[in-house]
Amino acid sequence: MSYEPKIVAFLCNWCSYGAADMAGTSRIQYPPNVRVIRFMCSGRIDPNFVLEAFLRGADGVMMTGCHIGDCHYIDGNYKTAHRYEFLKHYLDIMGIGSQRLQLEWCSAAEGNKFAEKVTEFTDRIRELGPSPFKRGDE
Amino acid sequence: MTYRHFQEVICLKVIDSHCPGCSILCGVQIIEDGDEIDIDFKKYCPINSGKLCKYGVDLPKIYGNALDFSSIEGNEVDYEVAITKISNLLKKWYSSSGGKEGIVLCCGDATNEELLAIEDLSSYFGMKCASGIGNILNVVGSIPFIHDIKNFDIVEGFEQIVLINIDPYYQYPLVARKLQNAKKRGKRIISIGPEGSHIERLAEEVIICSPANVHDCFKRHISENTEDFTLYITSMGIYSDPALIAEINNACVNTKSRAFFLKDYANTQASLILGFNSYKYGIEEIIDHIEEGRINAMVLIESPLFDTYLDSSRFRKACEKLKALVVMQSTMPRDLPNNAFLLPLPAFYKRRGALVNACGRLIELNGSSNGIIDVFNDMKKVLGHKDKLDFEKYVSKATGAYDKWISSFNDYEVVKVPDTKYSKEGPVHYYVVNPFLVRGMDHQLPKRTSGGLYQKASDKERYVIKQNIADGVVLAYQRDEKYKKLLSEY
Amino acid sequence: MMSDCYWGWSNRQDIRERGESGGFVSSLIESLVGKYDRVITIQKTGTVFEGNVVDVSDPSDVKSIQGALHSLCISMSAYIKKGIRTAIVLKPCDARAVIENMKRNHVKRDEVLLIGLNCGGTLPSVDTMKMIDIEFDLQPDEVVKEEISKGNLIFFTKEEKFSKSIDELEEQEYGRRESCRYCDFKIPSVCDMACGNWGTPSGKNITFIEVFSEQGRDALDNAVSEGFVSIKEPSEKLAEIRSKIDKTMKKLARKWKGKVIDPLMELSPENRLDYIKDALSPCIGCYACRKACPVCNCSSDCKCMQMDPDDNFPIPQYHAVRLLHLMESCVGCGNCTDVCPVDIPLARLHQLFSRTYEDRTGYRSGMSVDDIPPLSRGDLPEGY
Repeated sequence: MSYEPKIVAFLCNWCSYGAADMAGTSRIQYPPNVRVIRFMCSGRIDPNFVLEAFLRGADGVMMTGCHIGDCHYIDGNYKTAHRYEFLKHYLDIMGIGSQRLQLEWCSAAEGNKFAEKVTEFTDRIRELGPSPFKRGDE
Repeated sequence: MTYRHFQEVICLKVIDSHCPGCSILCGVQIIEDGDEIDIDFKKYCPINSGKLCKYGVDLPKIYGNALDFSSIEGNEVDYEVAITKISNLLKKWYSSSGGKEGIVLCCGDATNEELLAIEDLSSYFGMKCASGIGNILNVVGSIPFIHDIKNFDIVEGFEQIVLINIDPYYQYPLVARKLQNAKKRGKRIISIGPEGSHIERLAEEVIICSPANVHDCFKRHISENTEDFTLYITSMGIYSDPALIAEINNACVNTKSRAFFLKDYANTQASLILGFNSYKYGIEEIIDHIEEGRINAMVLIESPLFDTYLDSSRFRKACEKLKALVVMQSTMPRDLPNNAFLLPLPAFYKRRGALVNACGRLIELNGSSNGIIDVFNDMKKVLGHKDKLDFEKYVSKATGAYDKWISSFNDYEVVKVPDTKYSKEGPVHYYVVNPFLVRGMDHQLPKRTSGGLYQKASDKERYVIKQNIADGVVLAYQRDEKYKKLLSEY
Repeated sequence: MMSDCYWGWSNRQDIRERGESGGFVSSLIESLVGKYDRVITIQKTGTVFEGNVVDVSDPSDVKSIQGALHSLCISMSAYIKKGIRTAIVLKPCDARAVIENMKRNHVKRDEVLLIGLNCGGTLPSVDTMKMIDIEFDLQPDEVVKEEISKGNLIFFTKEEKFSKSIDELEEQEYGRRESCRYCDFKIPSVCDMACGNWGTPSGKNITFIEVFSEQGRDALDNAVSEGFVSIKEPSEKLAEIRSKIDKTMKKLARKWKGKVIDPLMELSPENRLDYIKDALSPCIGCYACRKACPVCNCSSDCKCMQMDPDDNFPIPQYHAVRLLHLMESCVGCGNCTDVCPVDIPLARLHQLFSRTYEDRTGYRSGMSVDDIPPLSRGDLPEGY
């Protein structure tokens, strides 16, 4: 039985969720591995949520939001960027690898881009294999 | 020089103390900052190097829950009124007891000096003393003390260590630390008991069996393993099985092996040394005797069993049958029996006096209060006695008893093994005794990380039915009514 | 030098002779009683291994004041309470923790006077007591004085002197606590002043003082004008030597980092994760590490405590969160390892994350109140 990666994606209500919506209505295909969790702003993503996703068995996590300068709450996504940089270092030291975390800015009109990025990420995670947190537990 | 009167700001005070959670008596520093109590770690204490288990870290919460009022049959009264009424109550009981017994029950949260004073005062009122483990002492007599174990580190010195019904990561974590060191040094650790999950980290051989079968497993094990220099570790408390203790005692006869009994109250070891057990019965038997009418007066000192005993409702009902019930303790009672005469005692850390820990180490508490000795002197004054109980006399008496005990060398003697208290049919309800359970408090199950070793609890409660525990055993870490329901479903 | 440097000593002959480097700190502390609500330092309560924190404002309780003890590591920063003006004697790691607490508004800068002490490291009390028994056949109460001098640990009894090189001890698993070995912050420049005996002529009972702030300046001037202490210019040559000693200690710390932290980075990611998993597996959930940690000052429902007690994750969620949060604030004091009842090398794990973060980004915790912690930043990020 080959492994199918579990991807958790945190989307922001105004931009990236709109992009995912648009991909859906335009019938743009992207892998079903992704589980979507909607936030009002990417700045609401507490780094602990990313940790918990990995602890609960996610193989990859995506943090997505509005482009810098376009945040609905002005500067919420500045914080997202800082947290992303911080988490990358943490994941590298922990041995999970920062390649399993991805930050994407997607505006509500970029449905194509959203689907593309999710597909790319899922393929990358598939290649990387299951999360090292899962070894020996099943 | 400008000198601001320092009473405007309350001073900080650091008191050298020991944790009363169990008989290991880990060192801890208590910080008094006005009304707030906090702890700091006493890193130079040779017992624990400053390290504490979850109970020790929670001491601020525990000491913050102090009892600070007296009451008579539910009505709050002044301390002096309570002393007068209590003295008269006990005097009246004594003069008209009519052949019934009265007991003073102190499980072990009192200093050496306090224990001696309790003995004196109880005999003055014609009562007998009980420590709650009288049933065990009836079976094994006086258990020889292993002088080799005076220094806790000697646990690491035995070639083989057998843990019986003990999970050191939950129950006595400071022992787990010593066992970790022993394992690093290549000693062999074996565990016999109902639970095996986290012990696999320490023990190379894990024998899982129900508490009803533990001493059969134990006997079989020692007949197959004739390794002589073995240390047997188990706990000895009000919930222990006298049959198991007897079996372990017998295993040490004529061998170089030794038994190390961990106790659940701060100073139970001293109650054994000082002979504090004139009423040689266990708690269940005491409740039976109260229900039969054989006992009709009881003084509970730092032993709120009507709150903390596993079958607390039965204990409380028994208390309510008594003609005289006196309760003296330092923590707030939760559900005091209606007929109780209640008196507050100073917190454990505030007392001065000595304690003896499970390793036989004589330890001093650095408080300033004589604790129960002051209470008894107040009672004597009410009753018109001119002579007072002298703290210093108790110090020398206790020290004398300790010196005599520590320099005597006894051998293990064979005792008759009674039947086990656990039934061999049906599911067994087994409590993992820890300081939280003994004191009737919530114990949060520690997080385990040995992935795959245990599955999620079938209902997310504290007591879990795990796969690799013995068949028909339900483990619990804290007492709860829901357990009984779980047991009946299981 | 940008800051003011002095040699100082107590004006009281008995304190000057008894004190380790002229009793300067003892007399300075005395001069502060009455000017601050609490004046906090350490007192010796028995042997050289035993001591506790004391508030000198209440003279009834004080036995024998020390600034610090070599053989007992006490975490001081928790004794500062907001709203109470406190003068406190600190080790460099304690001082960094206080700066971190100031960043998060747990301590107000103008309410505290920080008297820093230079520190080469402290010894673990119980292990050292065992060591003197095994190596020198000494009991703790026979030791009247202990000293660290020229890389040697020296114990004095009434008649004799026993010495052993610290390097040798540390090869044998004795010696300083592990977190002290790779700590490179020996002179607490974040305090109002730093005191020590580097850069002083030996045998003359003099303390070297470096003043870093106005408040420190005022406290020193006061102590001098009220007659508690005397000061004078240090010799340039000896002040140079002090900087040299600092550099040597920093080099030694780097060598120890290379021995303890770097090998963990040389492991493959899978092996490193296995190492972390294995190290954290005996955790019993006592939370003593959180209690002992000087920078952990969240209220009782902090984020590391918000988890389902029956979860069964590969590493405890409590530790996963703390490793993340402390990556930006760990000061390397080592208290977590000291208090862990199952001997998990927590300081090593936290420092693994925070030192490598410091190497990568240059952000170092506890150095200045103006440094904004990464997780609190809301400014426009670089490169975005």
